[in-house]
Amino acid sequence: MNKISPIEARAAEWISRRDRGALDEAAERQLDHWLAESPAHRVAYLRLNNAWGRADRLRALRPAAPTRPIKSLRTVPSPHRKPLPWLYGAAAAVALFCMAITVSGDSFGPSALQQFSTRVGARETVALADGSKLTLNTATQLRAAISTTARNVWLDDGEVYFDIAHDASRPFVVTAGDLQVTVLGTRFTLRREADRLQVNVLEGRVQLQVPGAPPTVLTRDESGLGTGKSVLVTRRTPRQSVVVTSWLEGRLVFDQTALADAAAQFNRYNQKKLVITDGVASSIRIGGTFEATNVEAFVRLIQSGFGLDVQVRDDQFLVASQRKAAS
Amino acid sequence: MTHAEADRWFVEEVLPLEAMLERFLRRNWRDDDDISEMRQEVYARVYVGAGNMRPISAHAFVLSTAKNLLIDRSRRARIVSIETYADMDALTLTAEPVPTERHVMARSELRHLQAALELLPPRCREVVELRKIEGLSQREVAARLGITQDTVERQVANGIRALAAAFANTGSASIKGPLGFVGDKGAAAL
Repeated sequence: MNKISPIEARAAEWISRRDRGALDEAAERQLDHWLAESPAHRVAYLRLNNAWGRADRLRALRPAAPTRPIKSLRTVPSPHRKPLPWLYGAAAAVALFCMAITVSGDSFGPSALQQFSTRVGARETVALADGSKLTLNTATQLRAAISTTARNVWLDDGEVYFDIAHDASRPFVVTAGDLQVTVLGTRFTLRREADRLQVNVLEGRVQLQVPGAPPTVLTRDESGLGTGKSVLVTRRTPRQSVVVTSWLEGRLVFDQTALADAAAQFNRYNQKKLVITDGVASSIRIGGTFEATNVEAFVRLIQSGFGLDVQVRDDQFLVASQRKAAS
Repeated sequence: MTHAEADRWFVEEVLPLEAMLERFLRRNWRDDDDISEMRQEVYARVYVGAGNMRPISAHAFVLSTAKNLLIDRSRRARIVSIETYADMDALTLTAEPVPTERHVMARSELRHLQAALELLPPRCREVVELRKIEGLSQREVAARLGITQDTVERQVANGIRALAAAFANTGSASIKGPLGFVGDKGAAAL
């Protein structure tokens, strides 16, 4: 994160103080003096004041209170006053019909649909007809249709590394449920879990589109998490970038990771699952680099390193903290 | 320009470019820790510069100011390699199209605000939500949460900075629709 700027802190204090109530004359003079002291003060104040004003939009999130009648409710026009509802229906039907033609025209194009999938613990690299290379991580399912006019991929489940050949005339579009990722030529990874889509951009630009909102453009070292109708964008530190691509070498990298989260990671790669049976063990923080498919080695390590009790079953390892005192 | 005019120009023309400016600085500067301080410096220089004469394009003015700052800093930091200078010359000032910055709709702004709220520490978030969503005054927030007004004031100050930072990070920095003449619309900036 960024260093805390004393000027910014001071500007925020002034705005908050003013937000608390009107400033008295002396305070008002003090503020004017501070603002006039340096353009750096003034711009910091303007910027934060603008942000705080924009936050008024949050008012839209206020839930309607059904228990309290709201006066302004009466002024809302009744939906029955809208003219000729059947006309909208007809227009919609026409629009739908046109769309259907376009879509089917596309999907019956010259491209053949290819399907790729990997087993639990497997990792495979495939080449597409356009020269792009895809690496599929554990338990991944993907379909691809590459034609002379379009490049489409559907990520149905799992995680994939994309190294996309540049071709501005044929955008490369990945569809994951309702979310869509569009690139021209770049490197990035996608991980889909049901409705969540994690995007990690390694090079170039990636456009992430969630339904009903303008697209978000992510650049190098940025990650986006798309869920339903929203996108959260973060910048990765170099260390986080190592973590998000470590699976390409079959490794899991943990840094202050809760044991429960680490177990969830191992379970993506192994049939024999790690089950942490109590909260104390779940919240133990661990770090290090591990071979994703060698869960046995990891189990031995937490057994000896943390004195955890491990019971080996046919299809799982049960991990508990009971014997902690004995270690 | 008068102060009021300069303020309004800054809020309406320069602040919406913040996401673009930060990306530009990040791409061309190795230490992310310096970015917010450099952004402030660019703003101050831009503000002073515009006081003398209002630039025709805020976008170009901000970028060239940022570029000059990068060059100044590289010299001072003595980290200049031949590549750095070559890169500086190659920086195309129009690389970032303006429309992406301004085509931010009310709905997506709300999304960004929500995302920003979720990143706040719990107490700070609670205070900001009561203040901005419920529309309570600081005094009412204090009464509702059983904390002092001074604490509320402090949490609001933290919230203000976090929200401003979130606007830059999420790539939304627009305030209002298409930008026309400075004098023809919008409330006074202060």
